[in-house]
Amino acid sequence: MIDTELAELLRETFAERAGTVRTARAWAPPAPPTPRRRSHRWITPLAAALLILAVTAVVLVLRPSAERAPATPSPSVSSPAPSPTTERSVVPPAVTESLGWRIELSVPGYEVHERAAVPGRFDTITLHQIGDTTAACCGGVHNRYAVTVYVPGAFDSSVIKDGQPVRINAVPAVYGSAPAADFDGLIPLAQGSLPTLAYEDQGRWVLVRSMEGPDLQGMISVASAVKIVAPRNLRVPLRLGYLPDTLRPVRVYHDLLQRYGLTVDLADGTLGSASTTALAIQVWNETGPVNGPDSVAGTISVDGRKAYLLKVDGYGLSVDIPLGDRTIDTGLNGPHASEQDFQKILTGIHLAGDDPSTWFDATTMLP
Amino acid sequence: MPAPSLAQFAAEHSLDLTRFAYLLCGDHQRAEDLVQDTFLALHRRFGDTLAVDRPLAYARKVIANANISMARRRSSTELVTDAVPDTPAVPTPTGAAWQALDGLGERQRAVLVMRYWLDLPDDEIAAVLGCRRGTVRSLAARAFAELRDSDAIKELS
Repeated sequence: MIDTELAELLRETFAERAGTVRTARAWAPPAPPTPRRRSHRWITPLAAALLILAVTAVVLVLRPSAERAPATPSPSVSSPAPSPTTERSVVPPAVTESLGWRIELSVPGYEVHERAAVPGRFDTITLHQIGDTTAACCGGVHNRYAVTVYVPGAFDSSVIKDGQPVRINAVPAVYGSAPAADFDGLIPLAQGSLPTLAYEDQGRWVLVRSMEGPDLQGMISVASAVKIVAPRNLRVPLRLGYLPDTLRPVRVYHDLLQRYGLTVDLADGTLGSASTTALAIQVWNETGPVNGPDSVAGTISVDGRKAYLLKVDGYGLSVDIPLGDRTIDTGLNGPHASEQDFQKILTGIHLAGDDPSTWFDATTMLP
Repeated sequence: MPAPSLAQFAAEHSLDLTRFAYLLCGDHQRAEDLVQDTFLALHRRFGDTLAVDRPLAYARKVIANANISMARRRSSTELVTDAVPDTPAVPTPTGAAWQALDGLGERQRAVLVMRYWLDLPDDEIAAVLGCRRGTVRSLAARAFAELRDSDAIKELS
């Protein structure tokens, strides 16, 4: 049975089986807990009196040291970033200036797992504890921290909730919680909020997030090791001789530890829905068609090399190009580019050699 | 747009979420339990108002992950039985496919359900499962290979 037949059979099966569920159990919120009987009515006023005494004592103790403290501005969770622009549909400016990363980081006991960047907005790395065998949900590598550096104006610090002022190497910082959903699916963090340590460095907000709950000391250790450097671009194994005017790189991603390799996503310049990627170029750390031989619909030539034309149900046209012990997998994703465009893109591809040292700086991959 | 109340969300989406859960786990009773547990989890986290972007996607994520966790627990507690369930002598194609789906891992099955029943793009499936887009693709490819190799599907060919 070929893929398209199997896919159609699955559609029929799911539709048929879903139809067997005709009712659903109603939801009723749980009853609020019954208030406990207060048998000792004197406890509340006594506790209040003790609290007032304790607060007064703390103020008296802390006041002299607070008066001696230097007049450094303390961070505030409500203070806005220089020019907040968190709108996700904004076209990233000057996307071809950098297709890489500005974060350098070396933390004893940890290794970099992934690097990802949305040009014009932020770049992120994740850290994996060396020797940690806790498998992530599907990737097999368990991330412990994520570090993100935003371009000036791209982060609104008011999203940090419950912030407390702390210091990292004498730099004011905020420790609180912030939404994790800023990664467009390429680096899956937790849904909801994560413990977050944030500070500003040369106008750029730096966020350290913990995947394992509150961990201020660990996060400070990571933050202390962060260096912001000149962008170091991704290196890619191909150049494009043709690209529709509407498409530009919107995300780059590099998995340093697993088979997934690296990715450049090209889209029409709008982010906001992860599904807007029009053309994906991925380099897998394995040989052969990444979807298995059954998906191969034929062979073609790309820049003089044999490549596999793939027909995978649920996808547009895609092509796998073997390159040494890796495979370049490129294909249409959704209706945002036509097959005619894709044919022209394939015709215009110029491949690097098998050896990654011959690969191109990603900023030169565009026509 | 104001955040929906949990009660309103539950009233609107209970049936679809139960169907989703059923396609994932293949058991009506367990599907209802998964959905109820999901609403309870939403209530614990957000209270009466679902202040979360895309609450439906969030609920699907909770269901999918709860089903994976439940399956892990089940595999270590369920007993083997000699009883053979009633099956038609000549299975229908959809019956054969449904039977073959039981042989897949929970994550593989979830990818197929989201792709072929919900028609979600891989990026959204990745977000629901908390994995990378490439992993979704691998899971789907392996699921297809396993389905093709299953006796139920082979008998159809």
